Amino acid sequence: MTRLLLLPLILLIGLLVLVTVDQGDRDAELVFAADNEVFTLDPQRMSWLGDMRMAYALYEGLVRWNPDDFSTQAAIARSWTVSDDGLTWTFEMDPEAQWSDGSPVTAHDFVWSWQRLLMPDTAADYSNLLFAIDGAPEFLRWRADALANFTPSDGGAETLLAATDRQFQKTVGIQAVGEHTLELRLTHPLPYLLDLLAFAPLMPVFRPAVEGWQLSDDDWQQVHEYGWHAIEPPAWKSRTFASLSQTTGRVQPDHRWARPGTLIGNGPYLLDTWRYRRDLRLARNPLGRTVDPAMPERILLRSFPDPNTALLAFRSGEVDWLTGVSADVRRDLLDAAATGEQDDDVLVRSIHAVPAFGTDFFSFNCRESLADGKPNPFHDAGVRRAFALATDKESIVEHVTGLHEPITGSLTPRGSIPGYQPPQGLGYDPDRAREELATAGWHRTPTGALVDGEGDRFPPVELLYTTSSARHRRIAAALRAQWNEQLGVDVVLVAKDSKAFGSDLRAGDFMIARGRWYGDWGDPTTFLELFRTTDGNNDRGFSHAGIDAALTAAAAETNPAARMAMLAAIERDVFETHLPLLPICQIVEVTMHDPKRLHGMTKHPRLVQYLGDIRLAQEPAP
Amino acid sequence: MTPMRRLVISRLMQVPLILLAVYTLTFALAWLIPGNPLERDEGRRPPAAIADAMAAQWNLDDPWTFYWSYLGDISGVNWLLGNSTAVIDFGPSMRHENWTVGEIVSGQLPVSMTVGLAAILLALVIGVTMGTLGGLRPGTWVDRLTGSVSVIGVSIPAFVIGTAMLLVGGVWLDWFPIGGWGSWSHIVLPAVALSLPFAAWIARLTRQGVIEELHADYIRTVRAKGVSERVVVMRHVLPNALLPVLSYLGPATAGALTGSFVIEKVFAIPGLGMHFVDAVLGKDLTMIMGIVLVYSFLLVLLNLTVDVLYAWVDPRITLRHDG
Repeated sequence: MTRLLLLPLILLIGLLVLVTVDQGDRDAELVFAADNEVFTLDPQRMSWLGDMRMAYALYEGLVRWNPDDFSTQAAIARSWTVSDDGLTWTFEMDPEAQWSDGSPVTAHDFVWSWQRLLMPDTAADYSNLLFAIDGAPEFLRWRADALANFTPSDGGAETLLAATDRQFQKTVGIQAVGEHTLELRLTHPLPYLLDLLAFAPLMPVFRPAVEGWQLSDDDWQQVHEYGWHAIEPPAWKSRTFASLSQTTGRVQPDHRWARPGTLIGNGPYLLDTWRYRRDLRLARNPLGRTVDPAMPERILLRSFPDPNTALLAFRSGEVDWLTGVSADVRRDLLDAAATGEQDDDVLVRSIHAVPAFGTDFFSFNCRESLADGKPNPFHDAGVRRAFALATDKESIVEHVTGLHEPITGSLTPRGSIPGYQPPQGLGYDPDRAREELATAGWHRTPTGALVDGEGDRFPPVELLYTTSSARHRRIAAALRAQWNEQLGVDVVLVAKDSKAFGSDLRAGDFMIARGRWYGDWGDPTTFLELFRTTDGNNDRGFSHAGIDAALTAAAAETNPAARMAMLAAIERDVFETHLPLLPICQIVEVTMHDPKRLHGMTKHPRLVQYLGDIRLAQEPAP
Repeated sequence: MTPMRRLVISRLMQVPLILLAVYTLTFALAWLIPGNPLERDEGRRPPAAIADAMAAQWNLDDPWTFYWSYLGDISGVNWLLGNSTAVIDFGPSMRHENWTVGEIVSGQLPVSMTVGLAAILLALVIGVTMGTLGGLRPGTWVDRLTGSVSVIGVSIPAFVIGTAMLLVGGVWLDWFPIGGWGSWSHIVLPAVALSLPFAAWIARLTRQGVIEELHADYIRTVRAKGVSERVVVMRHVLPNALLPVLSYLGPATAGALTGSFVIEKVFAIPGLGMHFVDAVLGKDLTMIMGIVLVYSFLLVLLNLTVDVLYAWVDPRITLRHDG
């Protein structure tokens, strides 16, 4: 028996050791929760909204948005001028701006960070943000070709990199014309350039931190005094986080620089601690330009993969702000808020439903034939229009999602871009839907089946959606019922996990697939470029020479009002005639915070929350 | 050499072969997951030149290159050849590039192990007590009560129990924090929730064992000698009745230590079980390989440990090694 007792004893000792080794939490004034871990803190590598929220706290760009209307305002750039032809922009930077190690923020920081964004070696998702800059897309291709043709030789990688730097300086319209003066040359006027410059991937990074420079004290002193460009970069072997591959010629990044201790930023907050999937803590940056004592001293991000647990943590007061409430629990919450049935009115006043800068839709496969070679009935725009006209979106947002999202007939969300009025698109009109089908050559037999002139039935429509949320399944089921009733077609639901879904989508292996698109910059082109034949996100295989030509013409238009009118005409044409996708509704984000406790929270559809703007109420709310 | 020592050595020598087989099989399965680990599920895609550069950086353009170069990194061969500073290098996570797989696994495995150990300990205490009580008086109300408790423990899903426990213990009573990690109070709720199915199973095994042993001839002899009932149960019945529990404990501990996806998700515990599911869904190849190999290694070790313990507790069992 004593031997038997030994086993639990060993387990108990093991437990004690583990618990003592693991250290506890330290607290923070503001705790917020997200459902996902931060993917990266390197702004040039970012593509997720949650990561970008951190970028706006850790870094500061040339300009920033006004959280009320998302107009742009000065940040590191104090002022700027535009040449008469709209092609040359000159930014005067704040000479007082500092990196968190005390080095000055200079125009060279921006030049280097943006060259980094354009280098295929960095493999940045958003490298095409800078494609309006003269020579930028050509530079990316030049370097990609040079790397593809690279043959290993002694010192070859260094030679190629030096040639690349020269190529950039010679051909790309990004230039430091003074220590604190940056000049950009564009190929065509870009009315939303400032909006782009406020976007996270264009935040500057500090080269010695990113590459992990190991320098002598004298060299560091030079860097702190004048900036890193004042000295020769150290040899590659003295760079902790970057290496130059002699076999591929590439600059090989080690992404571990973006962690506490080595990450150097210029934003209002510093990265204090970060434990993977536990918590990430920010501390006020004493050298930040905009730091003031009313800002929370420390901010803690906790990740809650289960939405129910996040809600419980909010209710118990452990979390002050939920950045997103999962679609699967928000309906109950909103109902509770509407009826006020929760006795707890802190909870009711803490629920915020904000229409976002994005749209839920269903993509039609517009290609001539399907992936299996069969003819595709949705190649005919008339059939696509018929399916759109047979869709009762009002009933979906009322009965299926229950969130009463604003329904939409266009992709650009209404009221999200100043000076732009998206079209109405097609409404719910089952009679017209059947007429459209008849014109397209599909008739209903007395038994209700849909057949073509030769008596062949309309093929069963495969409706592809992702298993990630019950919301998608419910909407898909509602569409099946509506189309079956109004048009007499059979709809088969096909559910896949997001990776499999994504690969089917890219391969064009679907008939109708769910989709969702968030705008990146404050201009209709962030939505409308999807309809260009050659666009990398044209999953629908949609191609129309008229639309392509109109998009190109709008890009060349210099009068802002005329340009907006041209874009509106394009969107009207797309959504009243071509219908490559069927918009359902504007996405509604539900967030939670007590407005009596947190101030400075944005309610704009763009939903970029600057952490540096948040203030805590002095007195705790009752 | 004693048989025990021979068994241990021969089993340890099989470990590299088992791991190589696991590596190959996992790699084949993970490679076949549809999609691209570097691509977002939704949203704007990078230009083609960028996507190609990403794939090349990770050796994703060719399975053989990936298979062999990664095998070199994690087997220590590259270290022996002087190409790498780390002996075993799982590389960075493909989707969480600021972290290496090694850092993630070594940071999260102790978390899963702590919860798992606490749960197994609890399960042992609860299970053996309930099973012994029921087994000593089969058919009575005590037996029926412990029996129904164990049925509940096995059949209620963890996410229901977990959420209910958070609501009661965290919100209403406010005794425990809601999710998270870092102190004793964080362990209690998840450990209890995780222990229930194990406790239920141990209770059944114990009850069965106790009933069987009580009817054995040697127990009748012991009783006839006038030994007190307490000594009969503690010295004679339990040690033999608990042998099935001991063999169950091997796989159970392995299962509990490697983390439960549902428990970790509900209690927001940064353990490995959740990362593994996320890694598979996101096709994070390096994370998948790292976690599977570490799990396999642990599983092999635990099974060996239990075999050795088994022989040590019950000297009648001889360990043979037929190799």
